[in-house]
Amino acid sequence: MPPVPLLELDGIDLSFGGVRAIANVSFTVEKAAICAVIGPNGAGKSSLINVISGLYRPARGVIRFDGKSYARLTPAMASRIGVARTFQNIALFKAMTVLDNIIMGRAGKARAGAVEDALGLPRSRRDEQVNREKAEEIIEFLDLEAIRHVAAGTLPYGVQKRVELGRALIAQPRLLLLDEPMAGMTFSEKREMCRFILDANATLGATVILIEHDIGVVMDLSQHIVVLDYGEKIGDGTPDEIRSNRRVIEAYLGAETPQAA
Amino acid sequence: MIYRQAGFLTADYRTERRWVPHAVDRWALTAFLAFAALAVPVIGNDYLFGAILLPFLALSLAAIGLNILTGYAGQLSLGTTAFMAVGAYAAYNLNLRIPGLPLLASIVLAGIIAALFGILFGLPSLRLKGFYLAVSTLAAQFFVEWALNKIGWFSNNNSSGVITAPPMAILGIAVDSPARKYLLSLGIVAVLTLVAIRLTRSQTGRNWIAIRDREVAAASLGVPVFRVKLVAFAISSFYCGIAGVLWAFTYLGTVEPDGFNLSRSFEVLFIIILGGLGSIRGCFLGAAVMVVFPLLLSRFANAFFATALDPGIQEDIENILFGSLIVLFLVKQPLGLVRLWDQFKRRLETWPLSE
Amino acid sequence: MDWQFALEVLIGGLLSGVMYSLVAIGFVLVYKSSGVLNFAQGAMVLFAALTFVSLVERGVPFALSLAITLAIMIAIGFAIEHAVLRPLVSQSPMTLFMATLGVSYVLEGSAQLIWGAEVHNLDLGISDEPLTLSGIDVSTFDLFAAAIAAAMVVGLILFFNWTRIGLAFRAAANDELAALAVGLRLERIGGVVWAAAGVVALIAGLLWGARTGVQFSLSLTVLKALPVLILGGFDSIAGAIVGGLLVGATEKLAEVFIGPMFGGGIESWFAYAAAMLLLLIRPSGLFGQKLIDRV
Repeated sequence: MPPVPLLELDGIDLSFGGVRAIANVSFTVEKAAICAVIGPNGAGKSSLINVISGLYRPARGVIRFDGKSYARLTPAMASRIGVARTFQNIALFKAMTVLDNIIMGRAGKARAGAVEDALGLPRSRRDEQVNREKAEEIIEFLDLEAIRHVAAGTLPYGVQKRVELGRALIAQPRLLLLDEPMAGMTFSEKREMCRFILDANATLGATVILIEHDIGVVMDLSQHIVVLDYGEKIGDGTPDEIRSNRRVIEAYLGAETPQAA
Repeated sequence: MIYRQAGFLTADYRTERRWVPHAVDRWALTAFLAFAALAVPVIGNDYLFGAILLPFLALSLAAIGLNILTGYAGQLSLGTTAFMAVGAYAAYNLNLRIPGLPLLASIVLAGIIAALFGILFGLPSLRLKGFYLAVSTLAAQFFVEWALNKIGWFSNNNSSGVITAPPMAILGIAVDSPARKYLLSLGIVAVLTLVAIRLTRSQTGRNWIAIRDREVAAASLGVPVFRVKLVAFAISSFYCGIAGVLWAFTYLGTVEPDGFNLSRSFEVLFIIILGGLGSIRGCFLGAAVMVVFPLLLSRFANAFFATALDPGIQEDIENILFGSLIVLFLVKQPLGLVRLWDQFKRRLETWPLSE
Repeated sequence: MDWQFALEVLIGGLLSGVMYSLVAIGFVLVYKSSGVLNFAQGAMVLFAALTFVSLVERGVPFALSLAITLAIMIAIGFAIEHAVLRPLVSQSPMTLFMATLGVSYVLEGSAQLIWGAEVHNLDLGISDEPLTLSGIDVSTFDLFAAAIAAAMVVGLILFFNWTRIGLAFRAAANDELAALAVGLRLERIGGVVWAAAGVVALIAGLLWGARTGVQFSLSLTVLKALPVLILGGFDSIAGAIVGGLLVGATEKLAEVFIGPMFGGGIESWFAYAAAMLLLLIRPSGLFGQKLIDRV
């Protein structure tokens, strides 16, 4: 019997006010894999990430996570079953310090309630202690020591991306969704980010799905690539298979508009 | 270089998480609190307690309540005094109807009743956001004013809904003089301020800021958004409710439902805008301005025109000045007086070497 | 129940609803163009009415008073936009709202400081003899107010569909970035919209003032307009009108037929309760556009 894949999407359909953003997309992601989702702008990549993290509810289709089916996944459920993510336009809490932002990644794991927090009861203190220890591990892992007490909103773009990765990693996710983690970065920043992603995958054991436009990076990082175009899946396979996929080449080079796709 | 941070290092998380990290600040705060608790009751006169300190403490507490909901959790409320009124009338009725209930117990219970009421009017936050939710708090405001006026039971059938503070005592000591009322207020406000600081520095507080700044991202991180909002409503109303008790029992002594009207809600909102949204210290700075400013204005008018201002004109001038201050702060210093204070301290660190 | 009486109450309610719409339309103009919930609209109504009536009482001819007040309201509109809203551009809606709250305090304070706080009677020369139509009494004044409101809406529609600045406004309301990209000067549009809100406030102020007397409570019309906006949606003029009619009618019917059960006085919160109920079913009001939370 083959091992159960971590994520299976089955016939996902999503539309906004009549416009179909995702059309009948299905694919699977194996455990511990790095999977890239690529495609031209407006292909539905971010929408797909939003579906997997429970922010958008698909009109049709099933999401299976580690063998369990979810027809209506909410963000809270997604976080509970071990999905963490970053956002295309960086969604850090600007007024909070880097440290607090990273600790926020453990929000779903808090055990103390508001009354315990108010009175400083043991469970609340223990939460704080554990949060801080885990956060320091992440801060060390991502080289953020020098700026741990700096407000996140004041940091340069590339560093904010790294902090956001840290916030996702501290939850020890089983599935890490990265929406354009390297957009707008310089070459050396990209290289650094690649190292962090590979490390997270290898040492923390997170399965990764990432959206990325830099095809070089995609081919190097991932074992598995899914290609979307106008909401439809037009390619799915190893980097080599994708490289020789005719429909992908057409979509990318904008050769003859495919008549009967 | 009067005041400096150099040489201030922390070796463990406990020291680092201190509420007042700087030793000089810690000494200053301790000295200030000791002065407020030990010296002020002896040297203060009835005017200081009655016209300045008692309203200041009650308004500060109400401001902390509103700041938790609006400044930290980002849910605009225009019905602060509705929750104050619920607290005041609840404490009055608890005292009246449960003989032998200790004063502090009735105050805490009144806070809890206000909190339940807050949860009720926070329920729409499941579906409503922004202004739509603010209108729900306005509904609370008008409904409470109406109910306290129309339903005689709340005021023990007083024809105009007026309640009078009962005689108060703690452990057999009568709280009857202005100085003792001041000590009672100070004690309650001090304890609740410490609790509020603890809250805002815990996961609960981080969750509030998170839903204020990025609700969608917060949800993705597993923050139970709706529950976090309701908790903010509950705790905020708890604080406002107890502030209402202080307002009615220690400051005014006798209140009518209209004493808790919409303008007073706006007044509390102004306090947190001036003091600093999302800052506990700011609540005290803002409340001080709100209480002292009108007194100064009338003193000033007395000195200048040699007669007292017509109360209507004084109110118009206050409105113009407060309105302008609000706009000025929102435009120039949205983080309020507390930020000005911090900037001043930073100046002290470098003075006279650089700007 | 006497159906004729009920009908009379209903018509009276609908017509007083028109008065609510008058204030609400001022809100919608500003909200649609800049996303600001302008709490100062009520204070502008007060300011306009008080200025006009004070000028008339000081012997200034009716038409000249009207012209002067109109000019002042336009100037105030531009001034608010320039001094308050423009420096706050790109701030959160909550900040903008609080700023307009500050503005409303300034306007209320100055109106009363300049003109005094007495109650003034305002006579627009319209009789308030009830008009009897097939046995039902209808207030002439309310009909007149409704006609003015209708004329104002037609005027606004013409303005937005047939003038350059109107088209620019609609473009900006639709897509601010695109409007900027084709070279529209948004600052000017902002100023014009606030000036238009000032004019609407003047019209509302005259009609409300003639009905209830010119006094501080005119400023509280803002609180009447809020449930109307909730029902109609903050961004729809049609919604403001239908919402006003709905609030006016249900409020009057409730006051007459349900109110006595509660000891009266329920109009202070009834419209809010009704609006809240509707909101829970339709979170964006009857006509407002449904917003999708984009990530």
